[in-house]
Amino acid sequence: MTSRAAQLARAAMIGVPLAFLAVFFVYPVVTIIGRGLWPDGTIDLGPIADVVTDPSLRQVAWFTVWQATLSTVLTLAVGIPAAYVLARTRFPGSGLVRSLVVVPFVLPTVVVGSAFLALGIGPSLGAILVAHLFFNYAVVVRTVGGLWAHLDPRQEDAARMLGASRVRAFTAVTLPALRPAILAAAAIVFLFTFTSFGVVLVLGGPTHSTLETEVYRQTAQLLDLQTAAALSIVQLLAVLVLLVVTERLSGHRVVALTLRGATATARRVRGLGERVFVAGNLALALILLGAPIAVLVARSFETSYGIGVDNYRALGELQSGSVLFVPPEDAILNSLEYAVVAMCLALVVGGLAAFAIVRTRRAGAIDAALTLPLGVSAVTVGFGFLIALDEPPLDLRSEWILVPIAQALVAIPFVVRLTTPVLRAIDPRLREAAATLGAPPRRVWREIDLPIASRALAVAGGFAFAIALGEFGATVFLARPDRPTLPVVIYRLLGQPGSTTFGAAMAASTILLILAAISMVVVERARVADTGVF
Amino acid sequence: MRYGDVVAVDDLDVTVADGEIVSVLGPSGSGKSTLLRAIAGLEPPTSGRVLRDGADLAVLPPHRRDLGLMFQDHALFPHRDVLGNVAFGLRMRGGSRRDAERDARDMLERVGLGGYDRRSITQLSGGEQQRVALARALAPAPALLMLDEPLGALDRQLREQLVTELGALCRSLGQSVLFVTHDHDEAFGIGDRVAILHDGRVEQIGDPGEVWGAPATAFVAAFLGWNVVDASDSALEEQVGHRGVVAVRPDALSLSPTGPLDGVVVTRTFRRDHWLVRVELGGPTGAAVTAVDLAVGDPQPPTVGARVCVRVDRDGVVALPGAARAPEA
Repeated sequence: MTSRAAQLARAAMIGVPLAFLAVFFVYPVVTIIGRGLWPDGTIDLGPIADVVTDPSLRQVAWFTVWQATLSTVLTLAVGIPAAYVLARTRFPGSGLVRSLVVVPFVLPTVVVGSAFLALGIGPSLGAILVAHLFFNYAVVVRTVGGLWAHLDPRQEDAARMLGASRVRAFTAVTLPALRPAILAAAAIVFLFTFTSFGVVLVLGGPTHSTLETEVYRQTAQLLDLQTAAALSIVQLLAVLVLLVVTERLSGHRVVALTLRGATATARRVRGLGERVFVAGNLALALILLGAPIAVLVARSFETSYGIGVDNYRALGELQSGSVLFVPPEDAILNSLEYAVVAMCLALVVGGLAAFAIVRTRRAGAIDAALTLPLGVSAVTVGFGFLIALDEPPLDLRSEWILVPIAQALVAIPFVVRLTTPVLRAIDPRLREAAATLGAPPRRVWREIDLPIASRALAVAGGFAFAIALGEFGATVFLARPDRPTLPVVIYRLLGQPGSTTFGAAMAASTILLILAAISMVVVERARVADTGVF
Repeated sequence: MRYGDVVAVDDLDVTVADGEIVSVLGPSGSGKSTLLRAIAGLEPPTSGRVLRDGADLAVLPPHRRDLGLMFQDHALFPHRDVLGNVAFGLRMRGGSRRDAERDARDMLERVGLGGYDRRSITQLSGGEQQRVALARALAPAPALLMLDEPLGALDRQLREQLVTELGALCRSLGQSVLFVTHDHDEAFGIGDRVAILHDGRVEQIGDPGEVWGAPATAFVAAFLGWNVVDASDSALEEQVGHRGVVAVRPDALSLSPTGPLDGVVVTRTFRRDHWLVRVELGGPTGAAVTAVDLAVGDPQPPTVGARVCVRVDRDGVVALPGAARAPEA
């Protein structure tokens, strides 16, 4: 390949993701800002001033921060010991547990919300906190555990030989080493809970709302686009600050990992104390993660006269005129179709971005740019699409492709985060070896980078598919009423009183749960290396 | 080759003939790896040329130079099995997959790994990985095969065994080899010629007996374990027959009850078939002049602190640059 062609290829690698980002993210967000700041052609800080001074809205903002903080602290407290158990000890089934722990993360927030409702945990702050713990457990376990698994256990041993007690060795050697991962996990969890939508919508009830749900309320129910835009801007600013902090804290450790599992540092559980610790954590995980799901599935089979599949049948029988405009099979098909398209989009854009990031020097900037959608919240994305993409040549409001694009936007940061570490870990010596054996640069790419990357891309694709499947925040804005996805259907069913509709909601949730779980288990089985950061 | 202010390799002139094995021996940091990488084209030399049969390779990128390089940590491809690795170079040269695999199997047999085709790289032992890396580099029969400390990570016994096998294999294939190492035994054991590298320069090059028997510079002598002695006082001068800096082989010095030089034993180390005894030779004023190592065959050598007398056998003395023959007394 001539260097000219190589340069063009590299430009495309960076250009396509950035173009995608520019059109489908920057443009809508800028439109939002415009709508909020200069609605009639002149800069008018009125709406923002109104938002900032309105006491009820300030309460909303404060609550958003407060619940996010509490959620983060709770998740760290529970997640860090769990990270140790899953990363550093080896017991029968530890691999399976590690795989399953990630399933809750991709579950649709609506499903989880309804599961908690089924458990009888009604709308309250406590319900929100526990639901957030449910979702973000995996973030802490995988992020902190991912680093922990690669720490050399001999460093702690060395400290103990030099006279430090076990606890001291932990606080003096291991904890400082874990600090980057803990801070990164904390930042990510805070980000997710700050912009949490589905959970707060379903479990917050009328008394608890965050900036995110407020934007939705203003847009979809009060039709006050200006206030919604102003709120979005406030949230955007807060998230930007958060993202900068996240970037600083997580850093980019370029570690040339060997492409082998980190099971070398895991050891068998010894001693009674340790057994109790491990068992306790596993029991907690089982209850925390398993109970809501189990209840959900169980409730889906409960009917007014005992156990049966009536709820599933009811799903099929509810005609238009009530809640569903379409039969549930269509909703399932819609979900699957959108998810597949979104997965492909996310893989192409995210994959190109990953390759670009690994090969350019200003990697941090590109990575940060592509991670923005993650922080900016699905509702803002959905909202932005609505008000921005409504004029030619980009009048996509009635196009079906809008939903997958929004879903892809949410999934792309994950694709990038999952693929880049694997690409970075490819030992440059492998490429050199290939060159000395006669492989020209393009062949090197095909023989070395691509096979190794394709595994990572497969994992990322499965992740993207599951995320798209459960995406709610943007989809609820953008899906046409006659083409809803499963999460939207569930939400509609939950909004209707009556045990039949509730039962049907449980049934639909169970179906969605199964679809998501299948794709995650497939993903985890295909993993090549324990490069465990999202 | 320059890296900023550091000159890594300087003033090097080595020629490898067809089918010849040239060892490059030098301590860590002497520029050995840099040399190989420059020849392979993985790093551009600041000045100088790499010629193959007279043709300058500077215009060719690494994949067109027809040179083989076996890395220190072998850099095997983890996503391919053993056969896939060995056949890689053959596939890059064109030719069908079937031919490549057949030749790869042949090579695996030759390195003693017949039947290992489908094994995963990660399941192999260190020695087995080494052999796969070797087979991979040898399979395409490059014009020159370069080995960068290939046996470094193995234990002594395995190393000795492999170095013999390696030499025999390369000779049977008529493969030209440039073998880089810091281990004396390897370098002298395998090379048709040995080059001693120091701070990026070749201090001496010649066949093993020549280099070993007659070091050309103070560095080479010291590196090979000779005593480097500045024979500037008359007693020493008379014994070694030269004035100036000379090299004296440890076994050319012996303890003798009447020996002309006297000194004190400072340390002694057991070396399998002899003891290495360090003696500080006193000058005429009694102040220590120089310390020399003696190879003493006696299983009961003198203890530390004992006064001894030392005799020099002139056959084991080599004049280094700058020394002159002492006038006969």
